[in-house]
Amino acid sequence: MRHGMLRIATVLGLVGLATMWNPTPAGAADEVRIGVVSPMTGPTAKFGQAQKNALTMAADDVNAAGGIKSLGGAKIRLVFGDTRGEADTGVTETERLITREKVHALIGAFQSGVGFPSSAMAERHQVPWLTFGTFDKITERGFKYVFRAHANDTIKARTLIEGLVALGKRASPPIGSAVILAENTEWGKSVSDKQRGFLEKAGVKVHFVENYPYAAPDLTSLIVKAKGVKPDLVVADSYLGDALLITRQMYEQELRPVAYAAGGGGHVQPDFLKNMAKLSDGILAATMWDAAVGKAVPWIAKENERHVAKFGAPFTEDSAGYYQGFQIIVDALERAKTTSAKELRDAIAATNITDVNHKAMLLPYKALRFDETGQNPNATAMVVQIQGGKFRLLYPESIAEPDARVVWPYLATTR
Amino acid sequence: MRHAGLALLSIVGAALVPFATRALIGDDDYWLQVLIWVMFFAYLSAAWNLIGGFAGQYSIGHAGLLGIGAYTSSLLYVHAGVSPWLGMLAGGCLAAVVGGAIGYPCFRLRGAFFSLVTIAFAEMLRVGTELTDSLFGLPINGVRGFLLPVAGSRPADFQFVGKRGYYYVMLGLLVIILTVGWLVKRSRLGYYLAAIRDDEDAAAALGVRPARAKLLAMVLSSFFTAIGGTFYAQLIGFITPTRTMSLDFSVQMVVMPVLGGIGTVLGPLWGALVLVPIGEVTRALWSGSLQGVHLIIYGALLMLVILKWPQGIDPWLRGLIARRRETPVAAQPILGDAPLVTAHASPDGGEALLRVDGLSRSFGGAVGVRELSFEVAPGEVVGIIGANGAGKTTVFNLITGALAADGGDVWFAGRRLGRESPDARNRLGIARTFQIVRPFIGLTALENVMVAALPRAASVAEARREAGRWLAFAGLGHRAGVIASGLSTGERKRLELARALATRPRLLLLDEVTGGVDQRSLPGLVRLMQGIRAEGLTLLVIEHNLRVVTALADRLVVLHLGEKIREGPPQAVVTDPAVVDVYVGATVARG
Amino acid sequence: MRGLAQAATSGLLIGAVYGLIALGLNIVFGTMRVVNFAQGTLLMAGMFLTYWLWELGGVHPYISPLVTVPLLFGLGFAIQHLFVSPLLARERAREPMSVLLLTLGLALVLENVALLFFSADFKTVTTDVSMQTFKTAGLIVSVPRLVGLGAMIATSLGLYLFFMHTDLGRAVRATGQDREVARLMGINDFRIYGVAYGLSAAMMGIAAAVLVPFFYIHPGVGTSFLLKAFVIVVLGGLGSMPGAALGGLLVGVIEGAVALWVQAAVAQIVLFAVFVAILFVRPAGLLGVERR
Repeated sequence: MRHGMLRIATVLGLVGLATMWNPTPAGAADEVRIGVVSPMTGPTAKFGQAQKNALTMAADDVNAAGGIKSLGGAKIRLVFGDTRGEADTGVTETERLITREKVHALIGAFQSGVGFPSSAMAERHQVPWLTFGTFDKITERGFKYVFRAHANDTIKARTLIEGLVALGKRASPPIGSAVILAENTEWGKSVSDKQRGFLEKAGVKVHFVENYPYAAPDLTSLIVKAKGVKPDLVVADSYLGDALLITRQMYEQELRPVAYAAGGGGHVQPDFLKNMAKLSDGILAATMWDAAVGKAVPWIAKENERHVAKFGAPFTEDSAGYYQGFQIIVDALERAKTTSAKELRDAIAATNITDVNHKAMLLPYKALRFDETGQNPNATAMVVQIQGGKFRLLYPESIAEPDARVVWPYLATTR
Repeated sequence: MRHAGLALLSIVGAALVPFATRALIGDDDYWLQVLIWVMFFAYLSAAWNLIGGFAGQYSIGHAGLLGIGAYTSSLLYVHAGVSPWLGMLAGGCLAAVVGGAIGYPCFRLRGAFFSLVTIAFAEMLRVGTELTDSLFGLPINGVRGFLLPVAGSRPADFQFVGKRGYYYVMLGLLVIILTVGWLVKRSRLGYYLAAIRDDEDAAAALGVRPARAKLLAMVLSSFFTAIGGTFYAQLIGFITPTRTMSLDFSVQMVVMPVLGGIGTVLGPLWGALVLVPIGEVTRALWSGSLQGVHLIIYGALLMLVILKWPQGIDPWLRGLIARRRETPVAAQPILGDAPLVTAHASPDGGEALLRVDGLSRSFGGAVGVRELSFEVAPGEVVGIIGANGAGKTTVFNLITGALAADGGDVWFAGRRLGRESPDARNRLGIARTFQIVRPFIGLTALENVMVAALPRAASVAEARREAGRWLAFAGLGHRAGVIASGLSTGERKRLELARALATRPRLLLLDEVTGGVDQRSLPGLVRLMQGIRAEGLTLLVIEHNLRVVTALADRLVVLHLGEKIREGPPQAVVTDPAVVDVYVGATVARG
Repeated sequence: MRGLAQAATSGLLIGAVYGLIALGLNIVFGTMRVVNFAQGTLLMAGMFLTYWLWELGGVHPYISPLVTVPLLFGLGFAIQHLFVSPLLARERAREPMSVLLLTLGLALVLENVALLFFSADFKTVTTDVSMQTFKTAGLIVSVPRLVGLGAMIATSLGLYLFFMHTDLGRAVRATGQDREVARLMGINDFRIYGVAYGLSAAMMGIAAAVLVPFFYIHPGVGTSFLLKAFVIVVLGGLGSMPGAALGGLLVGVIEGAVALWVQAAVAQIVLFAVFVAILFVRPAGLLGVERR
């Protein structure tokens, strides 16, 4: 029996040692490590891949131009963590990146439900975290190390509704009533609540808000219910699968609202346009980024073209957001002249970018600053409309494509 | 005792790990986090194992209980300021109540149905929670998830900065659940559960109360699972119904014990030790390139284990460590002395011990038994004979309560048996053997008999002694430590007898004991039956072998197509033309 | 009232698709007492096959069963032969638990292999019938879903005839009722199981052909249908083909009606509650055979 015991003990010991061996150096002295927390596998892996692409391009650019100059040309190394779209995995990965890979800052985590606890982990370890995630509360916890440069759910919802109202003024018939169909996830619930608030404030009667089960095989009853109240506006907050289903079933059941808008999510995916073709025409959506901003700001258009050339696809809303987060960190590093967490954090907090040609302004705002909660108060969103299989930027006017007109009502061409 | 030393060593070793990692790797919270996940899943798997492995009821909805625990303690903490340490116990109790209340009626659903029902309940709970924004006026945010305040280091409130605090809490919980498992396994409950898992009906026929045993296991399992939920909530700080009550979580709680060794004490630990690191390694190695690889590995491992090593890792490990035991060479089976008092005081004035009165039962159109009446006096041996399909085993099933009668009554010791379950009837004093023997396959011969002796024994040790004596009486003393699956048919028959006898019955129903037994073993078996008879036990014997039954019985009852056609002393009955006609006629008709 | 009629009608139509899947599940569950957790992934495989036939070969989904059905039959037979029968040989109990776990593992593997090779992209197929509807009695009926109803009725009839009037079909039924006895009567139960499993998988080819024109294709698509299919099989009665068909329609209608009156999410809860209730009140289901 001692033989057996010894054998087992040896095997376990070797296994233990093997896993403890860390082939990656604990951290070369002259590099800057930025952790990327994304869903690299799982159902939302596509998004993670897009984020990886955008960041890789950005990091390569910085390194090719000589790295972080104020740190003696230190090169940037991206370290990727895979959340699988799950909260607890996200937390573990964040921790791995911080304690094992010794990253100096993090960007993450795409799904708000994952980013929420993961950023809390960064706060615990006092490592700066640039959020990509729209859940308001991410920056409402009194944290010092969590920042968000882009719009949150409230801003996105407000922009969508204000945009709809503004665009509706120039078209007819007007919008007097609405229904909101949102997936029953934390994002869907949170976004639909905000949308309802803003709609009611704008004097639009919201007949009902339904949070339907995510990935349900059939949503006909939902559409029939909506049809029954004859809404002028249908707002959908869905991921891609449900977006496809809802759009098709609206057509079949002859639910033809004056306007069909999306809070984001599935409706603004390239796959949606590809699969829906004619039915997607006229759908309005709130987004934080669209390639059309490049029309007014040339460097953005060029950067997007480079991205397309490299990866075969343009930036997406989220990959642009990650890119922006990256650039803010780079900018802060240059100013901080150190990678020490506290100073870096202070440098980020002191960010003040107003130059529209700064790389961090891929999502262009009046200014890029952070208030005491870590949110950029100048963050905005925009409203796009799908026309002929492409997105046209329509609102706000200041960045709208000059030659684009809103197409109204929805499915005008097929009536 | 050797095991105790080993266990202690492992615990101390585990407790020192955080210090070791800090010394070797520096401030490496990630490593501790992985170990915490390993222990967490080992804990949950061990808690699941109490009902899944020990009792054989595969719940695939345990995540619902996890969620109950997580939400209860979190709500109490955030809205009532109750420390999660207390909230944890409250959540455990609530889950125990819910688990028991749902489990109890569901236990009669066998196998896969039970699993499906647990999935249904867990899903209902999950969707319901997702839809609920506030409960009794307290916001729980439904699908948006419930956030716990991050307040730095507050051990009194179950919050720690850094991983060490959580590591030690989890280690403590793991030690507790494994100890609970170990205690249950060697307790009365453990034996009952093992028997129930192998053959619930046979266990009931021995006086074990399956529903009660399973309920207890379920309550324990639910309690501890919910505590795991509280730990999760305190560790992550954010709970959503979608994750904590998810089917995925439930499945993980099943896969690990299956891999590690269902129904063993340490199996869940092995399962977690293998599967959790696989998930971590695949993520670290292939982050971003190969999607879902760890799930492919999980699935493939699960299939492999089920197909090749259904007992899991644990028995394989034990095989490595255990010394080979030599089974002593079998001598001729000697019948030992009967462990005293089997004969009970006879009821007053020669009143029949068993009276069957107008008993009827049919199956669809076919008649099983029709208007059957006969009596058995205390100390008598009555044989029931008849052609195949005459209804003999049906009579047994009606007497023991395994089947309900359409009409007529069964009277035992002056008491009419109505709706009493088989296990209740066994406690009244009726025991039986089965025509096709039903030993508890996974238990040793000794343990088989122990299950029967336990309900009447004051302690497990006493039951063990009793069982040993009955085994010796049945001539199986030398095979006490052999797993039932390794016994020959003849030996299994003896085991069946020993088991039934260990329930100290007043009436013993023997169903075709000699059936399927080879010529060589027959005499020994008959001697055993005569030995039982000599002890004064009342016997009702179904036998095909006419020589055996005429030698053994005082009286014979002949059944044909469910009806009694003859009754009387053996010699008279066997030579009766009507009986011969039925027997021979039956053979001719079939031929 | 009009809304309810519409919801019920649409529910009926999607219920037909549920029924198709339940029929497949029923063959395995009802005759082999095997809980086939891999049924959903078999459907997914069928849908991907149908999709690729369309994309690469221009084969219309409604013609694809000519290819997918035999292929899936082979796949099902192989799965049964390789993985399930060794287990059944071992287990004594009538409702083997290990098979449940085995098929669970299989489902995990299949779904994630699909994820690995086909990525998590959503694909759709738009054919001439994809979004066609016609109106009758003031109700809008979706043509592809109506085709689904037709397919389901035809398939149930076909299966009914097969099980009741062919030797092979009767052998399958006999094996399901009592494996030991069937074996004693000379039926090679393992080959029968292969046929049953293969048949069940083959039916997913039909279900896929029906679904692809109007539903999206994705590695995870099987899961949402799977749990509903279990509810239907139990509701309709184990081993009863008409029961599964009827159960599917019923579930579709209940789902549609509850979703209309209350909420789609509540419909999920209601369905599971019905499931639990049936198991307690009438375990044989609506049309099932009462077993001892």
